[in-house]
Amino acid sequence: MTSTLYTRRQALRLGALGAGAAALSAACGGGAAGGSGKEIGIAIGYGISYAPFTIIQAKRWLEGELPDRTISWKIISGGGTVRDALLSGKLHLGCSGLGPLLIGWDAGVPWKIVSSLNDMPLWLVAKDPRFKSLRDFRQGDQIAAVQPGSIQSVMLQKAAQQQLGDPHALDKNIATMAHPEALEALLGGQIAAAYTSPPFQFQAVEQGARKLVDSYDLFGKHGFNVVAATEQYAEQNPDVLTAVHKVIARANDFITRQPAEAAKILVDAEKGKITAEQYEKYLTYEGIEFTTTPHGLVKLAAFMKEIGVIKKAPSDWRDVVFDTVRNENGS
Amino acid sequence: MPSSTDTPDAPDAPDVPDTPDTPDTPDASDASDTSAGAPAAAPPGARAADTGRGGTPWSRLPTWARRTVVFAALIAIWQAYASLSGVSRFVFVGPADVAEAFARGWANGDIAAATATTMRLLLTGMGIGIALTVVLTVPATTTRIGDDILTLLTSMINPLPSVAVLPLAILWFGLTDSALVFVTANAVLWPMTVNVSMGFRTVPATITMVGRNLGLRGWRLTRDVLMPAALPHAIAGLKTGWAFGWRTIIAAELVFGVAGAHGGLGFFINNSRYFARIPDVFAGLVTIAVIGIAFDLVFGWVERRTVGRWGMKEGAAI
Repeated sequence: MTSTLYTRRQALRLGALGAGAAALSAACGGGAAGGSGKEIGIAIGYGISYAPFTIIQAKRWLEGELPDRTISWKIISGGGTVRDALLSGKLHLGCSGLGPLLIGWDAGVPWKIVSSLNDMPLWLVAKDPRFKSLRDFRQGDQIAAVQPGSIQSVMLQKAAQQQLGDPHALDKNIATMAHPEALEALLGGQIAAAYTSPPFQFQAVEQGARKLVDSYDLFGKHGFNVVAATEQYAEQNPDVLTAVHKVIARANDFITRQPAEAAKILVDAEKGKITAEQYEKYLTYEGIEFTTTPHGLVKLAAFMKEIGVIKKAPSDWRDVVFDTVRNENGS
Repeated sequence: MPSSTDTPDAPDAPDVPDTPDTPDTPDASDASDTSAGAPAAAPPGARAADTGRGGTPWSRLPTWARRTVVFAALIAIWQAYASLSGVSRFVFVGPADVAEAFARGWANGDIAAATATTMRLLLTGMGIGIALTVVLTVPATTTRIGDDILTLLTSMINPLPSVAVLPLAILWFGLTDSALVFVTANAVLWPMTVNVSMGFRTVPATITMVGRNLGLRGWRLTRDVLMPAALPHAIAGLKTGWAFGWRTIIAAELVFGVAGAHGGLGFFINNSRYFARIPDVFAGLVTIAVIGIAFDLVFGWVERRTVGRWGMKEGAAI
């Protein structure tokens, strides 16, 4: 009897050991950042900022450049989450606004810009007529942004500094929301204001909201979203970086030259409520430029450092980019 | 103790007569605990040999010493993994960094403020939950219709994971403290009503009859006879309710971003993550664990001081 008990106990122990080993190896396998596997994981977000990627996907340009790789596309909201996914090695290229990119770079995250996507004006919009300027916001009046530290949050801080004298006056009013949710919450009256991006800010205005802040008034024309990768991945996969930069440039050119065609592709890809005419209007909106070159990065970083969001700012925009865009005319 | 029992090579011989190893022993990890409290000298030796190599000296150590060694070993493994595995410090940090972040966070008031916010929301939610528990269970004990209502409500809502009602709460209350209090109150209410109504139902008939003979009816019967008699269940319910509420409020805060003017611990963790302050993420988790342990200790103490001391412990469904 005892001997059978023994084997049972030993079997249990063996089983536990085996399960532990399996879990450990699974964890280690997943934890390897970088890697030069065949699969390329790319994350994009919500909005027409990612239109180049929609076109690249539809036309299968990246598959054309990298025939021996499989590409998996994901949608992830917020540069902070993208950063975590890149570091965990599950994702290889991800989009981030300049805010989270600089925060990560400042904290020592080994990531840099592969290519910019665009310059876009970012608007703070409110629907309730009570809100005419930032002065009208009280404690508890929530302002949606993708995350604290996002480029929209930084714009809000710049506007708060100008209008209220304290860049952090509205920090506690920020509510973390992805752009589509923010638009719905704004129109439904659940939040006071939303700091989103094109096309959500345009849609909000079309449905009765007003523009309170325009980021171009604060910083001039500036970059919005960029594609980032870890240094390790970039080192091991220079061909992927070159290809991605190349197809983005191609897509940007396509959008700029044939916005009507591009709008049709967006409509087909989304199957949403926005018509091709609307998309064309959004894509060609004054101030929107699809470009691979980061603009206004140094100015934005200097402000983030000034208000204590980051501790060090790059003195040269080339400090935070890979070779792919180093020779372009950035700022 | 004969030294022969220490050798794992000859386990069969001493083990047979004692037979503490009946199959109903749940698992090996319990063995060392029970042996420490066993009065006879022989069984511990047999047990120790049973639990494997070096068992005897280990199980002879006092509990605190054993736990301290295990704790220290875990911390050492943690630190070793963090420093030797080459894992990115933006994914995983060692205990030294976490301790530093923990100390800094408490020193500059960030974690204290977040903890205060979370506790305020949790206690408000629990207060509402407790009040509603009384409102629901007292009629359920004294009237048939009340019992029907409670049974139906409990069986419908109790199986629902409490954080699942968060989207609804956001819809009703917006992204406010009220939404968090609502989900917390909902989380504590149902496990508490289940426990408390069970307590009321299992009050011995004799005690109730004595109460009735003294002329007590309705609310007075409930207050003076049923409630004290149901106390063990009520405390168990409070303990379960707290555990549910604590998990729910943290989960809800993680979903939420910012709630009102100040963020709680869940928000602290998320915010630290946004700003790539990974040691702070871990420090927030440690805070949550420490508070969880502290509350469990408090409830254990209350239980010992009340139902344990009054000899009612047997009735408690813990």
